[in-house]
Amino acid sequence: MSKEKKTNVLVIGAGITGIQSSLDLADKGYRVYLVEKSPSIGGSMAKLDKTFPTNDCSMCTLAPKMVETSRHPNIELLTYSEVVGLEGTAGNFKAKIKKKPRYVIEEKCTGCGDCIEKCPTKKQNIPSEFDHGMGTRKAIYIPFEQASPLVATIDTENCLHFKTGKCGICQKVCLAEAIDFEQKEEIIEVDVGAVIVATGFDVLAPTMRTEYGYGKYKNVITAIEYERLMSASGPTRGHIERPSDGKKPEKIAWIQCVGSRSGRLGNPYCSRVCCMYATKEALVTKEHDPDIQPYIFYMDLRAYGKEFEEYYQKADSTGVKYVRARPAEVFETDGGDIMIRYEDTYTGEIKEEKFDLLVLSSAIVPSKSNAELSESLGIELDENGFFKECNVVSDPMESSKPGVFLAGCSQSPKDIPDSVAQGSGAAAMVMDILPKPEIKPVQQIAEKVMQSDEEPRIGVFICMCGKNIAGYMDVDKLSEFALSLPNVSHSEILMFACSQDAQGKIKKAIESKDLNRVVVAACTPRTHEGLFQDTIREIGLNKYLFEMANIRNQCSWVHSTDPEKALEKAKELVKMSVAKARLLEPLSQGQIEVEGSALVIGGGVSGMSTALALAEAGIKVYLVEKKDKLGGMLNNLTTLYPSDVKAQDVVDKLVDEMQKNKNIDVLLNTEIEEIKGYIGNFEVEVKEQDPLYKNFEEPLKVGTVVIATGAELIDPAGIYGYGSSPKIITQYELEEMLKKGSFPKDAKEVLFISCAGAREDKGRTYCCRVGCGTMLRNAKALKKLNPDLNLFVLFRDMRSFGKREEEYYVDVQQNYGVKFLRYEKDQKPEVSVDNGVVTLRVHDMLLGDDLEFKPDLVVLTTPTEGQANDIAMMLKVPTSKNGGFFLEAHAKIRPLDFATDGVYVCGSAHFPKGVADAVAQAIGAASRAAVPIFERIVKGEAIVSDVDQEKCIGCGICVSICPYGAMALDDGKSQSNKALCKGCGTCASACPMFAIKMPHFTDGQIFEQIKAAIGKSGGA
Amino acid sequence: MADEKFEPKIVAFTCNWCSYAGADLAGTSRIQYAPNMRIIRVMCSGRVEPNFILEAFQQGADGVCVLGCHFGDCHYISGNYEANRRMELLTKLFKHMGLDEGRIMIEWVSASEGERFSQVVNKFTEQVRELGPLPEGYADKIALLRGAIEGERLRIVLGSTKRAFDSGGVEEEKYNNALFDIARDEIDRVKMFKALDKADAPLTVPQFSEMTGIPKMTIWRHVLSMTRKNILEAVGEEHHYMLYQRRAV
Repeated sequence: MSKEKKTNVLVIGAGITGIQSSLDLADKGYRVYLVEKSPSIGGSMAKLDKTFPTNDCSMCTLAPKMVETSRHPNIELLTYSEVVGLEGTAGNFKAKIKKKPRYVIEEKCTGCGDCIEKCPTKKQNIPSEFDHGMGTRKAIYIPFEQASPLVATIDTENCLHFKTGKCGICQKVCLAEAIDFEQKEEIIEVDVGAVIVATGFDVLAPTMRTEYGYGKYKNVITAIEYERLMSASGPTRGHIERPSDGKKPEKIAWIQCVGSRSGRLGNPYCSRVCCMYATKEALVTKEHDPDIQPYIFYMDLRAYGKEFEEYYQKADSTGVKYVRARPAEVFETDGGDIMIRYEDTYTGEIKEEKFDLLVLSSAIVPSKSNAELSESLGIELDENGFFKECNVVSDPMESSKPGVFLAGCSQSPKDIPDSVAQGSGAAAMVMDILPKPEIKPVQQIAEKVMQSDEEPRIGVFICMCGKNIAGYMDVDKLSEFALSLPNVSHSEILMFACSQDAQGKIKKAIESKDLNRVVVAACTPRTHEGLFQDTIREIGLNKYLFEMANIRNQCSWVHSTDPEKALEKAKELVKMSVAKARLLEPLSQGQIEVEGSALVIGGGVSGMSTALALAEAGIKVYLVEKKDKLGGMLNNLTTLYPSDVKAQDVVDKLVDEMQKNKNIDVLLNTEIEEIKGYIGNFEVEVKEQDPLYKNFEEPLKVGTVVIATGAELIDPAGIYGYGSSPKIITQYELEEMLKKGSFPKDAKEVLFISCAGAREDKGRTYCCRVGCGTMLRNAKALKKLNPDLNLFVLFRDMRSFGKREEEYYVDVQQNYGVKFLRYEKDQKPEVSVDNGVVTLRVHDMLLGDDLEFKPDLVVLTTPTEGQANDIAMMLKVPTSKNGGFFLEAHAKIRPLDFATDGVYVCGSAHFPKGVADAVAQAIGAASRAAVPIFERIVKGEAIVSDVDQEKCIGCGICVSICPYGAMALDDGKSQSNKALCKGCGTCASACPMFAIKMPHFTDGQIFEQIKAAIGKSGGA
Repeated sequence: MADEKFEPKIVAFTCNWCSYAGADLAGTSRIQYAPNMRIIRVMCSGRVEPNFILEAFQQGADGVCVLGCHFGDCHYISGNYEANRRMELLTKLFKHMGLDEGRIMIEWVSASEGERFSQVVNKFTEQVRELGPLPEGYADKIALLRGAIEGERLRIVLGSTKRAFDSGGVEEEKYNNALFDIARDEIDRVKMFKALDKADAPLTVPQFSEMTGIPKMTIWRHVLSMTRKNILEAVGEEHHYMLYQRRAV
């Protein structure tokens, strides 16, 4: 295989995970084949209404990534396709991909939707897969409005042409001639060096829980179905209507763990996301309509992630009713209401409650295609049907076959940020085994130089969009009008402005009429601007000399009943675009050369994993650790939950690999003194110098920085009497004993208390995320050591959410004789010390009794806290509200990045986490940090702020307002860093002196648009 | 003409990522709504200057709105908060000057809220239609307001809001009240400058008061403050009152 082919990568599945893997690889120069079995990319995230814990609109955050993916020059999208075979070995695979016929030619279809409108199939009969059957579609369909690629697909099962041979209306109405009934299935073969499996999950249709009535009662639905009801773009446009009669429900119940946490009743594992999505659905419902009363029936509320506990508390105080109970059965009453019969955990009583709608928090289950895919790829499945990783703790992303990697829910259920982290992580695993791609210089024709006094010669191109525009307004009149506007020297009508032949026509007109500005009146710049910009660039025009008028989405489609008004408005929209175009200026992107090295701060398991992943890709790494040895928190631990792997073995292996790798320099006993600079060119000075440091040029120069500073143990003084007796210790002290073998042999009774100093009302409000696991594994260790030990675990919610964790919990419960006692927030255990005797009192909820113990040891499960401050100040990155952790760029889709480019975060510095999640983040952060280094030259945005040094008074307002750290005062004047600026323009509008110019959205351009819009001037 | 329905002209500034996308979705969903609004796309609602809005009124718009991402959704993290601050102040000032604050609006529309977009457009269009065409003297008041809002002093205090709140220890309500007071002062001062321009001669405090309608005590305060800051200077006297004019730069 040629070297070039070795840098090809196959990514299977185009949900958020596969998208992240693809973008990470494509940005590094790898050629990605992104295969998606459904007609559009976007996966499950596209179906969600909001995302927890920020209540962000899911589509708002996903859609820009979808557009980026579909327009990336290094990504080849193969939608409606499936991988059917894989031969060869790592570095030399040959993959077979089956491309299913859409019966629509992708290159020709413009997504206008004429065919869908005219398709005679009865809409009510075909359930929409995208809406999980809550909505319907026709036989020819686009799954959702933001679909990418935006092309139609024919489903032959319902299509009249395929059923009876008689129809064919879509073919007749398609002016783009995109319908092809003769299309055949194709098998494509591609050579790739590595494979990433990001096939996501299915949602269980919980029909086997017959007692809950799914499939039997109309008003029992699953949470993903409810999600579609909530979605503003869903079948009910976001109005909550129950399926039986469309009535607005007043009481809605959620039942948790449907099909999960029970091997007998579905699956043994915890589905990990349901507690939070149910909380989100309930909270958003309540916020949207305070008259609706949501109830959540649950056993353990697993709010384990960053800001999750706070979100849960918010839902609780907003009026979501949490009922700790196991619903026994559900039945329908008159009028379609749903009666739930449940056991009250507090009283043991059987209660009944009536609801208008029941939502089942149905488990995430392995994708149906997993079994077949595991055959095709030759990789193993685990006992539940997810893909099997090499090691659940230390190698979560390696499959059983070298060169094939796992990411996201294909490996186990997980939420969006954990999936994204693995998506990046898998991309890093690929970069570590494949050669570095050669970056080919892009051949482009030289840009025409424009004189500043050159008269604008504007060409206006009016798209008919088949009938989507031309059917609702007189485009000839519009074209005539355009030509009458000042500086317009050409106007032309195109059938489909986005088609290939139209690009040729636009170029021809630019040449023959010597146009220097182009306006396309068509659809939305959000999807089509890039295409037209490329076209005009190809003929030598600067791509910023382009403007669009959105006469379809803002005009013909929304004023289709009033052609006169539509034409009137279209004229004004064109006039506004022309007015702006007159003042458009050519722009260019700033460029920064990137140092080929990286700094990793922190030498725990996260820092080491990041350093190794970077170094194995050939990147020089400096790792700085303030302590005298590597290993971080793992040095305190015995085994790594939920396995019995020894922590020391994992540390030793990593340290050994670090020592062998020539690309890594480790500086121990070293703290960072100062970091200056920005992406591509950071300068790092350290204090407490390691002797090794003297060998380096001073200061260290690096292109990117990864923060892996972890978290620290809290001072437990005063918590449950800690400090007043040697019998009250922390889990870490217990582990110390276990490691040294100093656990008292005569101890008869030991009590663990969860959430000691965590999940508080004020202060450390967060869940420590790892405490439950720590309790479980230490309980197991103690009972192994002394099976006769009377061991009680006092807990609030058992949060064993990760892969194999629930199984581990069940094992400890069933096979080790550990007693579990639940306590509630307002009935915490009381610990007192009198004459060296420790007494612990706790209310047993099941027995309804107050229990008293005189244990030999009380072990407190305390949280960790972040240490973000100094480093955060130096790098000008933000920290979280709670706990001193670093605050990532976006809780969902950018968990490893900061708003400031070139700086990344992973592991417990982001939020406390177990080793599996920390490793995934760490390797993911390596991928993120490697992107600019692979690119070698980072291109900034072209639309960047520009400070007029004469006008600037150095007030620093822009510095305080810029979220990207792109503004800095230098010598009393503000300077804009073109590499960091993202072009929002907020600084320009805040500057008291009007000293900041925002190109492409200048005051002058906007004033001209205003004038044209109101109609006083700006044209004919 | 009286029975013909008044069709207001409305300008909307929408951010690229959420509200413009919401408008696109309203289109793809073929939701019909009032055709009065003209959208000007900016990358972020944080780009919208108060003077964009005032310019639109000066050009003859009957209503102007800003549409951005919901809080927390901003593609640029916090731009919509800045937009909101500016609109809050502008709304107060509209009220203060009797400018029908119903003619301006800031709203949040996400990329998936096509229907909401159309509702927002319809609601605002109807609201402005109810208010009718711009009343006489509207343009003058807008010009006054523009003079104030483009002034350095007000812009510094407005722009520093985030910094003040981030630093902690600043009560939001107090800060916002102070901001409003400064804005009112600036409007007074613009009126005083206009009086000077109109008279084309230095003026005394009573003359200022008479020409602007601002109480004498308030004028005194402005005169004292502006002479101290070298904005005004005394150049003689008339009827036992000092005459003031703008100090030449």
